Amino acid sequence: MSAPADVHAFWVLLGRAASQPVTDARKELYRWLGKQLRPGREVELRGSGESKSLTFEEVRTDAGSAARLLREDTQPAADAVVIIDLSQTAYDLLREPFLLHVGQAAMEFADRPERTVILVLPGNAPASGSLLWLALEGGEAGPSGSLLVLDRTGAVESRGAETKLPAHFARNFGTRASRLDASVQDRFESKLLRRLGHFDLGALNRKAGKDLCSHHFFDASACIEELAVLLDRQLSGAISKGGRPKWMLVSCGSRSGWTREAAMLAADLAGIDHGEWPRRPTKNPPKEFVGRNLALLFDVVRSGDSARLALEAARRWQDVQVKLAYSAVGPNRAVRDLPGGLKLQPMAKRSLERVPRDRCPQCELELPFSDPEPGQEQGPLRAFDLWSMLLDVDWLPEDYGPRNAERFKSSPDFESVFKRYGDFLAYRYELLLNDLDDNELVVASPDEPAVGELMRRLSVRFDDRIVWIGIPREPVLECVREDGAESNVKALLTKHAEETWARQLSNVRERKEAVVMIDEFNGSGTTAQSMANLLKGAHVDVRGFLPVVDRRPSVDLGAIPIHPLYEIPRPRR
Amino acid sequence: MSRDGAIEPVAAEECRSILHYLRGEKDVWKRDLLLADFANKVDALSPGLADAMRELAIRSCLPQQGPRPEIGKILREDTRAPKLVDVVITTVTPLEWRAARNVFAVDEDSLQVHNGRLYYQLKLPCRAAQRDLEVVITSIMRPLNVRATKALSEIRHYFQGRIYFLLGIAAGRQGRVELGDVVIPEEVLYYPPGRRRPEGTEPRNPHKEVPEAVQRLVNYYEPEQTGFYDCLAAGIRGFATGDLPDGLDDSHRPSILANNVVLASGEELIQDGLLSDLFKTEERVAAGDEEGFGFAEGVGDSPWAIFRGISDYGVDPKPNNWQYVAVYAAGLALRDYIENDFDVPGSETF
Repeated sequence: MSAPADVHAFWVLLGRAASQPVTDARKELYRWLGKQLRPGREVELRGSGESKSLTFEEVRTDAGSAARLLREDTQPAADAVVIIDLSQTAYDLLREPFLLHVGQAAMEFADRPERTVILVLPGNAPASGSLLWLALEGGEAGPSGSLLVLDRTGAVESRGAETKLPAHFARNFGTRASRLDASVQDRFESKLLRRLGHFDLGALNRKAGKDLCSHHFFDASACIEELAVLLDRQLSGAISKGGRPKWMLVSCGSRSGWTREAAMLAADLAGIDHGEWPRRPTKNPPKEFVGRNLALLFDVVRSGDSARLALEAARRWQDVQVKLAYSAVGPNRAVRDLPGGLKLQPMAKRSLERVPRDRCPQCELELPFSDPEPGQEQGPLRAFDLWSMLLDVDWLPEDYGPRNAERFKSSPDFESVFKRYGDFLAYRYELLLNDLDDNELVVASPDEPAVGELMRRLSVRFDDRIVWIGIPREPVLECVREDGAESNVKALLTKHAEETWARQLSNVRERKEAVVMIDEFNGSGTTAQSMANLLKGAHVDVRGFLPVVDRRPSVDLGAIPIHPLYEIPRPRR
Repeated sequence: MSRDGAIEPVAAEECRSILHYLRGEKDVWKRDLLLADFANKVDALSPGLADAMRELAIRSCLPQQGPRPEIGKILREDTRAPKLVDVVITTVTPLEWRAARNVFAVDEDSLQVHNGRLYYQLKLPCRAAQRDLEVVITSIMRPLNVRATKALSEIRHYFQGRIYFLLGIAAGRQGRVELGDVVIPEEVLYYPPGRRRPEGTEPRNPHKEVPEAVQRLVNYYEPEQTGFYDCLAAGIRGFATGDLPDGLDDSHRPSILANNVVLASGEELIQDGLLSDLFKTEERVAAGDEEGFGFAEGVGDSPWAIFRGISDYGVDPKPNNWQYVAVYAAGLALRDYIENDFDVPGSETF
């Protein structure tokens, strides 16, 4: 039986100040690639199991840094399959000098006759004039091994020795690679923001003679591309290629700029025109609508009243046909009785609360209306919102926490809070973090289930550009000592040197980047103090401590500022 | 405010929100954290608002009976800032209330009701202030000093007067005053307190003195110069028969007494000649009532004065048919005084 083939994979991530563990699904893809190129052999995955991460600053100032990162690992076996995976970084962030150096590194790896190098790019392959191709030209003879360049769809360019690929290799790779990412629908739904507040819907529905409020307000400005892709799929399925010149996608809902942007992008993708619904009712249709079939895009449709008004108006217009109606967000139940028998197709369905003003609890409490424009929230969470979240989940006895400290007998199940309201909390964290750090974001926290869920939501909000250093509780607790003696931490880091979190801290320290500490709540300050001691001992700069709920606001972390989303002075005893 | 001053929560809104959740929450641990949150924020409020909020928080611990009142409505009632007006006039009995409404010709459209108490708002021209004054007329509604103090506390919650007047009737000391006269006391003597000994009661009578600036202005008041008596005669001509004492006509010219006048105030209706007894210890005692001292206590540090019409002599039998004309005359004197010689506290001439 032949020896296992080595698969040496480099997962290159840009915009990160520390490495990240390679996910199991990605490792599986790498193994699959190995088996395709070494048929009949078992494969063994080599490498550190972590990403090769670079900050944008490093890419900008030292394009060769990536190649050095690749070369610093142990050399792959002579017949190894070497994978350089750039697929996770948006193509426009891969600068040409960077591609040149990566291409040169790939050529060096391919300089063994038995070796196969695979370079995986994001999206479609770069244009023919790209420095990447220049690097891959090599000398007159080209590489002695074989070199394949794949894009995410599986399209293949090859260099050097001929590689015999199995049937349907490209298609199968494209399918498997696409499984690594959440579907567009999932991405759209997870990035769709449901802000909490007190929103005046009356101003939006006055034409319908209603004064309504809502505790929620939806915002898709962070997922315009996903919305556009979903719309394009709908439009492409509904409109024949030949009929497209007659069609126009019209954005309705002028209050949200994202509706317009998404409609413009979707129209561009679908190859049809884009228009905007008139702001005021008009007797005659806008000139650009005349003779057209219209597909309308509404932002949020709750009862369908606003859609009905628009469609009624359109029915009175001469020579305009509204044939399709979409909404970014729609109610869980079907919107009935739309004029012309139209069906509204929502891209995401949600429970859409709206309350007549005379029954609105926030109106009764005389709470002011929230600004529907995102990014306006200042300061801590509103008490109404915080408590609506905390009281919406079970309260459980605290099952982990500092040693020798009383556990809370009943505390909100923050994991459920983050599952239900993580989009909103991530958005509020974004507002806080934007003030602290505008480059690579590294977050350190105890590696616990609740905060892990919060980090997942933060990662979605930050388009995966966030590095989470989840430190297991044991090492955190070992740093409880108030003095945070450096020698103790040094010994601790040495003891755990092979663990991911310790290597990530090492990355951050070497790059002189800073981290922020996040936790679900600060109960006594012990964990926060321990984390601060650990990070200080690891010579990592801490920009701030950002608990969701600070139950001991008096805790002193020295120079580390504390910015909680909410304060309730009720510490652990 | 949070520790670094970067975050400034709107404490009142936050407290109302927490109260909203407190009211519906029974779980002891959730309530504990809600109350901790509430306690942390309520101290940032003004004392009156904080007290109202705390009361609601305490009420949330009690079993709820009947429909739950709205927090916003309660707080609007409990925590609104009192409206600043120039003059607050209060009466006690329904007859006094009726007379005051007639004398000041209240507009029924100006009627307001706060916590079941009626208030009329009107404007009176004031020669000294050279402007119309904002005047509120209301009623203590029930006799006795303690009730007067309590009522004034409530009235001041809605209307903050620059000056407060008590208008009504009183028993007069025979020999010093005549029926129908008007007394404007310099002091109120609270006559019940004392030390009871086997040999008798040793008086311990507190006094309330009308602020000197008010006394001075009252002393300048000359009803003969203002047309007061003409107005009174005109008013009497319009009285219903039942409101007029037998034989009284529009030639009635009551005296208005403001010098060396003390009002004796206690908790009993005087019909046993007590005023003559009190004269032995305080020779300025000219009249007696059951609300004057409580009223003067209830206005706190604000300026005040009392206008009382003499309707009887504090002995049996009482001549009941002098009550309306007495209070009418006192009310008319008060109105005449405000329009002609009164100046607003805080002004240069006050």
